[in-house]
Amino acid sequence: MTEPTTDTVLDAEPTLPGTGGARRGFMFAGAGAAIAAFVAACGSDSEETTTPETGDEETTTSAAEEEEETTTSEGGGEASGGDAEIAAFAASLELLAVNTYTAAGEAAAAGDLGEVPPAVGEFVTAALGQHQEALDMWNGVVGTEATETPADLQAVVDEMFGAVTDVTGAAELALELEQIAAQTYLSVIPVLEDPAAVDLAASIMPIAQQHAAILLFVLGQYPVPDVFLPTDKAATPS
Amino acid sequence: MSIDDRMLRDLVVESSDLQVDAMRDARRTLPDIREIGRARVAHPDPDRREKVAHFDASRRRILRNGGFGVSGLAARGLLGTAFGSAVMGIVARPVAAQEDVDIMIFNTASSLENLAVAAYEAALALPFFGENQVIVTFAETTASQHTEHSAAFNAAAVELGGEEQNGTNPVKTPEVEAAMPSLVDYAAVVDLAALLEETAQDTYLANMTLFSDPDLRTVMASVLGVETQHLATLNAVAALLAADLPELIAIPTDVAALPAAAGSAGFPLAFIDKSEASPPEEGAV
Repeated sequence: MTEPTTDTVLDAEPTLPGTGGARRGFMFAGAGAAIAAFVAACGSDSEETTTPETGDEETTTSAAEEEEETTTSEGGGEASGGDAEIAAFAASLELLAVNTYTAAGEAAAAGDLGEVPPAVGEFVTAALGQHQEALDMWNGVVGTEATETPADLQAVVDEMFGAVTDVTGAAELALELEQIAAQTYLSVIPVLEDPAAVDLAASIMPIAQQHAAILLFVLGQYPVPDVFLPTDKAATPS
Repeated sequence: MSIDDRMLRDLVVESSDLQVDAMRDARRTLPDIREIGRARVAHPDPDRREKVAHFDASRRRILRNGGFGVSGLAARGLLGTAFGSAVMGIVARPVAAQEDVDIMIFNTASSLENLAVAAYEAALALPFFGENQVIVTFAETTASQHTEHSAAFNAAAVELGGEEQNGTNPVKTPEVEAAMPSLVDYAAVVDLAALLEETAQDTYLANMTLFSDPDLRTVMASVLGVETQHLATLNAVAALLAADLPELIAIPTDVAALPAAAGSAGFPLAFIDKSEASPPEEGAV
């Protein structure tokens, strides 16, 4: 898919394994309990189940409408065979992002990245916080806290991180992770069955895209390089 | 303004290349949509009543929450007097069971894209707009991207048996027109553009689960991922304008000079909400 430049450092770096497009062939199992946890995590008696945030405006939903929408959501969940596995994989990706941003922050604090501009420091703090929130949400869906990152992606991140010596290198690594996250979410949106799960994935995907836009600007590249978000960097469970 | 001419030319060349790639990517999704349209004719959706009920409930929720006008325009001081009556007209309009929600969603999306194109083109004609070439390039490129989005949504609507929506959104257009006299500087333009991008983003998210076939989500989610980058860029630009640092809206980026706020202004939410979403049928043909 479209890339703004062909001479970036990322192009010369190893291609992350386990990436490469959407697929319809997930064969997962055991979604029932996870969907129940999803509904519990995403809604209360007074909140709409299809909204990941605790939006105050949703508390005014009438009982009839609430029943209508909740029924629709849970109906989809009951039919799901793969949502739980996708949620678990999403959690593992978010954990990888959290760990990587945390490591970048620690490296910056230790002076290993040289002079860190204020905007970059602020970016790392804010992006880390949002990935942590996404991780917490997916953990709620799965019912347990993710403890493992995707092994193949982790190995390559480790290799790339080992070569990072400055803010630019760290930003390029972060950009790669954000693009993988966004494109992975895009690839699973048509695969997810429960409307609430679709809603959650589709509300997190844009955040990764926003992170990527700011990173592109920081790197001196055009912030909106694609006319349509591709899936060529989407990760798949190994 | 600090502008690197060579870098900017590269951006323009890239944007031209993007259009070629865009059409290729849009075409990728059309065979699937065409198949859905054929299957629909052969096998009418047995769950249509339930989906229409879901659609109705979603529409009421979006309107109750205020959508584009109340929470968006009012917050920006752009609220027009015609908005309230227009919204009430939509609330009162019943949704017949035979209406095709999928086509309405794509029509509404096209109407928002067309309005965005018109707004960016109007902005480009403003007398002060040429002062920052990076902003000009952004407006031109973004308008072009919105044109491609509208074409993709129209193609999807036609494949499903509907008609193209080549007009601008009937509810939002008067509001944008009312706002035009207030566009006296970059900050005002960026504010309005951000509202339009946020409206598209929230609308596509809100309508994502209303599609009758999961494959229809792909093209909308793909565009959602781009609108949200427009919004992030505009929010970052707004932060630099608010800090009275327009010279930093430049490529290459002077990262060291950027204020801390520029690092996070582009992404204020951890999850996208739907506060500015348009009802699914708002731009239906």
